[in-house]
Amino acid sequence: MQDDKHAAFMEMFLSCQHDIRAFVAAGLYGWDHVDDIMQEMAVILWKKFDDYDDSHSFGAWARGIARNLLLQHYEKQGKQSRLLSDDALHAIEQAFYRQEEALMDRDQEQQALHFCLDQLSERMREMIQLRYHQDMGIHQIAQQTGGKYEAVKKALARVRKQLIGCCERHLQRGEALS
Amino acid sequence: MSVDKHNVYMDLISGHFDGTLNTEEREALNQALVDDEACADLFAKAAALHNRLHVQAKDNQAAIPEVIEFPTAARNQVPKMLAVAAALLVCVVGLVLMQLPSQQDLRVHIVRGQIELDGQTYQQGLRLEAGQDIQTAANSVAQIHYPDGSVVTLDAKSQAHVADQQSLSLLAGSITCEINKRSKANRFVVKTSTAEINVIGTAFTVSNRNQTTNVHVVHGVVEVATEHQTQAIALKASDSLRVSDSFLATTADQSSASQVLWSVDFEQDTFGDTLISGALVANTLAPDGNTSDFCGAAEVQVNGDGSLLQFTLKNSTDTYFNAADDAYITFRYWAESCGWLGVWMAAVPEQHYLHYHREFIPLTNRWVTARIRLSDCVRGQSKDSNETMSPGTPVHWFMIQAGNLPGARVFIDDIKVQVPANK
Repeated sequence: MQDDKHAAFMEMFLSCQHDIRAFVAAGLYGWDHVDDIMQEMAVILWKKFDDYDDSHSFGAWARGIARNLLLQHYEKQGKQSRLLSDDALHAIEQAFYRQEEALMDRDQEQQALHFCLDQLSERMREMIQLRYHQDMGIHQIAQQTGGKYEAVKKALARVRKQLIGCCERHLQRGEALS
Repeated sequence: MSVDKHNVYMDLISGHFDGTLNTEEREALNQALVDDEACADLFAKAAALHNRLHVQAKDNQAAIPEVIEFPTAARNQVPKMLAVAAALLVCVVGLVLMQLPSQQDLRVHIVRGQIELDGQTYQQGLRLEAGQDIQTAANSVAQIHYPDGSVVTLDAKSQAHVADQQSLSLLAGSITCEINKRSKANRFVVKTSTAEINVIGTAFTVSNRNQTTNVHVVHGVVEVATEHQTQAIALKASDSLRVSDSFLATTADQSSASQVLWSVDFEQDTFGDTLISGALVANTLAPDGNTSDFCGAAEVQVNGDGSLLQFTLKNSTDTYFNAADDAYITFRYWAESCGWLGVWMAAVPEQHYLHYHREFIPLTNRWVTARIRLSDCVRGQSKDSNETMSPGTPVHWFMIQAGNLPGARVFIDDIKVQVPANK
């Protein structure tokens, strides 16, 4: 019985952990506290799993708990850490729910991202490398590439826009073919 | 949504993730998220991308690199031709020519992309001289061919200093080495910032990122020397090792001359005074199905009450180590999924945030010996106490903690606090 419950929990948790982590990371700057909050949330989800109503989305339930943990984190860390208002967090939560409803295969999404990263120009790829693999901020990237701060900011916005568009097109094409 | 509006939203959202928004811009973003569903939808997509890119980068850094397969024809033909040419040369000109600097025979093959030698763009077919640095760009792969047929493949974004035909320093990135059988005197050596890998003839991969070296042996045996051990660790086929300045984890058997200050072996010890929390599993089937190897271990199930494994040093001995000692804690673990593990220590029991070290769990689903240098434990944030641990402070309490997905299991056994024997 306990094994069944555990298996059900793991299946649900693993299927939406990327979305939940994305939601948690959206409320914070940097990655220092993201995994701590995820860890704490995972324990709470497991403890409260008996209360979960499986006629509703597990992801939405988990994001609700993640939102409370984010609000607690803001409270602990002080005003300056608060990046999003309660209303904005709620709006984002709803947007994640809409996105979840149009859920694609996660492996396909990963493949789409790989494909789209390959389509980027060398310069754009370098931006992503420096920002995510080297964890550099805008100032550091500007220094490293010899670019200007504003130009780097714009370039990162452009490359994100490009990747989002490319992944959507790639997934739609895949859906049309299947 | 109009293109202009989309761009304005994207600039704000991107700025949010890069931490560049000023107060006004932040308010504008918060307002747009509430007022316009399209902005919130775009934000959710950008957040998912932001997370995926980060996870991908983290996975790349943590993963043991896979062996890269290259066309064997290209790899085998060139060295064979070189070997034939070299043999002919020896016959014709005589032994004197054997004194020629052998480094001249190193050749570089660009598998794809761009590479640089000493900062200059490299053209296909040129020689690699001893003392040169070789560097691959993003999405680029290069091979160094040695006269004996050995091949070292540099993965993308890697940099190596080729000292001579016997040694190479991996400065960044990862390499795959396929080294033909050599004599002990000619053994091949790969150096990184945290390890020295000695090879007689084998295939293995090495990566060196963020001051952490990963070694994985495909076949043969390599010996890895690190600052953590007085004796080199022998890695056999399918063994792995991860080492940084303060942490070492390996699937290989280890032995080193050391003085054991304190230890717990769950097969033999009584735990009443030692184990504070966590569950003891005795006479259980090992996670690898091997009963003989596993008669007792402490198990952590990360699902609430049993999520911590805590120990105190035994009070009856005078063997407390102190914060200035070059002491290590070693233990064996088996983790069933990725997560983290850490060591916390304190001069006073329960005030465990004083000094700690936390490490991403490498090498899951195998028995791994982990080793953490206690002097590298950093001072944490303690809300409970102003206590400090200056050098010389005796450590009375420590805790091993593991975090994982709920329900996933971590087993820990053979815990020892040691100092090198020559201390």
